[in-house]
Amino acid sequence: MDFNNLQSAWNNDKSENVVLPTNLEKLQSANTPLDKIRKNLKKEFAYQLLSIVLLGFIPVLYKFTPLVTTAFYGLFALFLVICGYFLAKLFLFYKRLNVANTNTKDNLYDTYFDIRLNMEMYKSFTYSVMPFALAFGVMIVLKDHSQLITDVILNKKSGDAIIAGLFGMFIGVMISAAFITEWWVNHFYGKYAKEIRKVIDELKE
Amino acid sequence: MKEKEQEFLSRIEQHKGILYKVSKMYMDNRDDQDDLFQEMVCQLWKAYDSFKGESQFSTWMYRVAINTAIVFLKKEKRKVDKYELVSENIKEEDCDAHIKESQIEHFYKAVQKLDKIDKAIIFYQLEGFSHREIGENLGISEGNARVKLNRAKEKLKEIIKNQGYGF
Repeated sequence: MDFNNLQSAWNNDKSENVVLPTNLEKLQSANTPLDKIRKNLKKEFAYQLLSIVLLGFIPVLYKFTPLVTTAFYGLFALFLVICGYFLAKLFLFYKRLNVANTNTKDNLYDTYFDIRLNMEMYKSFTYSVMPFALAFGVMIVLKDHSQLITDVILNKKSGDAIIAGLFGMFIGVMISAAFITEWWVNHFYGKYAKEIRKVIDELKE
Repeated sequence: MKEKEQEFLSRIEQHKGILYKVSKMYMDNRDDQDDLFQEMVCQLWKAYDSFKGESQFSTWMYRVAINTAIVFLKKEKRKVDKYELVSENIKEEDCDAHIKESQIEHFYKAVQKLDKIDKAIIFYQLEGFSHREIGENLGISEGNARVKLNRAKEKLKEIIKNQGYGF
């Protein structure tokens, strides 16, 4: 075989028996990195919305005092604003149509930066809501110790142990959350970015 | 069926050979080839509104098809059912057609071992694109396209030889 023979065989490789799909509306795109990411995001949207609704019932579930309940819903309102902002951004990304009709290099860069942008947005979202989650956790832990807190505020008791405990909890939770977030984002989204990066590198001179 | 859909399908029908060949170059088993073929039709349909007729339909189609094939992800956990190199139904007397089919099947088998960009370059070359056109479609310079094409051809020759088929 040489390239002339190959060219001739190539030209003779006919596609008469290939049947085109008849119903275009039924065609589902599901095998490109952006489609996979969209699929992951769709699942996560549902879980996140459910979690937000459930969080709103914490004061009822844990029988918070009126004072703590007011503080909780004050924070919860801020939490909702931040969630709304990031979920709207992620939703717009999810809906955006990626048209693959530019040249290959531009198309790969567009896809790569879309994935990276989504990853960074996802991480920012998690890190932004983490302090709120912590604050809600602290409220749950301290809800039965309101007398102790009053004593600390009124300087009747030293608050060092409580502050040290809260500080330790804050550091521990933030470090664990950072590890989990990085793993999660790299596992579910980073592998696609890596794959595209590899192809971009193949294009280099 | 809507007029736009009909127009799109008739245009694709005229050039479906492009999709058929791309799917055979990028996927090594029939199920994945079918999936890629469908994915390319789907991406072409999604992008159809962006086709303004400034270039030929086939030129636009090449780009979308290759871009889709390059980022296409195989379905996971599928039984690998590689297609037969030579069809059992080929008649003995149809010797020339038999040789050509055998050559093309060896080629498709060998080309699976190339990386995604090399596959695109070989594909464009076989479809009669010049170095400049290959460069334009891939977003690289003409010189780079020439160098990459020569390297891809060398790699392909080597693979075909290693498969025990003379080149």
